[in-house]
Amino acid sequence: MRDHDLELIAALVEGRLEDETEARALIASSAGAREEYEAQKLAYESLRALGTANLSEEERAALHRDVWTELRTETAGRTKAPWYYRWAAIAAGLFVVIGLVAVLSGQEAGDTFDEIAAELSGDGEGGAAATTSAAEGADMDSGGDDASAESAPTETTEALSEGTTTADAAADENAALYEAEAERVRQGEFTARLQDYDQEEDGEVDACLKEAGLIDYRPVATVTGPDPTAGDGEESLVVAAPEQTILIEAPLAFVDLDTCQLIYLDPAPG
Amino acid sequence: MLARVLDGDHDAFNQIMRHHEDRVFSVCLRIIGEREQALDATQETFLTVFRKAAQFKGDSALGTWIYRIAVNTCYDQLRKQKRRRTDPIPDHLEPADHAAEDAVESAGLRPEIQQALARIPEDFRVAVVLSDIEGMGLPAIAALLGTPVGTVKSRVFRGRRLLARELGNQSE
Repeated sequence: MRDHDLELIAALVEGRLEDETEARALIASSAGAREEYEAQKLAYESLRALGTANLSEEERAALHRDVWTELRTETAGRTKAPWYYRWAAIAAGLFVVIGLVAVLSGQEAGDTFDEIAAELSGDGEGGAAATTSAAEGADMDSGGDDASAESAPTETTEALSEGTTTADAAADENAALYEAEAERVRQGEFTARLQDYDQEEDGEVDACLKEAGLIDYRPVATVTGPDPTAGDGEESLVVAAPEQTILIEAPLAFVDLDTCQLIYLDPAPG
Repeated sequence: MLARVLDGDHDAFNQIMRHHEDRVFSVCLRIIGEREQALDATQETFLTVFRKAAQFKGDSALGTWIYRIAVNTCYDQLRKQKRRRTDPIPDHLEPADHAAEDAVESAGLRPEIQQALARIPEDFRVAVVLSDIEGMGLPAIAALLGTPVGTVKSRVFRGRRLLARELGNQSE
């Protein structure tokens, strides 16, 4: 059969012809043309009867949910912050805690510093070393060459003075970093579920949140990176929000998963 | 619209999805013939649209580009389906593929048509689905598939003939 004849038959089947005379004549004159017409008509009408399909509302909702979950997981994988960003923040956070405890205790600054340092490490020398380490951590964050990072154990009063200044500066910078992180989490740049932990470890995370005093909080994201003190180990923070809150409006808590300590609490926006 | 997606505008991507999701799903369901797999293909299509948004040059309409991705994703799903079906069936199981029959049943209200459609070769199936179910013109299908209009026309005509034969066999 010629192409023209086939097209004529198809046009007749699809109802595209204004004048069907030629097509009808063709079908009437040839058994082959009639057979072609009947086959095309049967198939075309069957397909039209089958029609298009629509998603159900449940399928539509699941589609949107699954697509965004997948895309957020990918985005979160790409937006992991560098390790020093986290480590410096934790070190600076430690300084803030030490400073706050010192101020709140109302004791002589130098004595308090020694006591807290000793308490942290179990002896005086270790305590000073821990403090120095923290100061170095804060320094890594600022990139400066603050003298407090080199404070000797015997220069505790001076060290406290400079250390507090460093801690204040680090705390400000640290808060800004965490605020930015919190905003990114609220905007969905991190997965809504923990993705750096297996399911069986979720219980461990929940226990850690409780230990940090966060009752009725749910983990919503994690941030990880190499821990410089642990070779190939990982430095991990979990971000948690109160249960039954909308993420975008929730206060967000940053908890160190190694120590289960609350590092930073970002208040609810507005 | 895709430029807004690239700028991080999530609403823009949601709008694109809402506008095209039913048609993408419909095309995939009619080509694949199984609802769950069609849903998977629909999801994969939109993930690909998002991932490749920067590669869209605007040479064709956005819809054409999206349906091209959908059809290619459906071809991938069909290949996976074939691989699964060629896996040896354990001796203790029934050889009849009841799951496949159930899948076709779930594809729509006219299982006999969907079953017949599932038996014609993929290229012809895609052509008749786009032409006769989705109502696309031959030039649009040609642009979507990246094949000459003449080839599409031939596939539609031959696809209809094959489908009619399958439907005739069913009624016998």
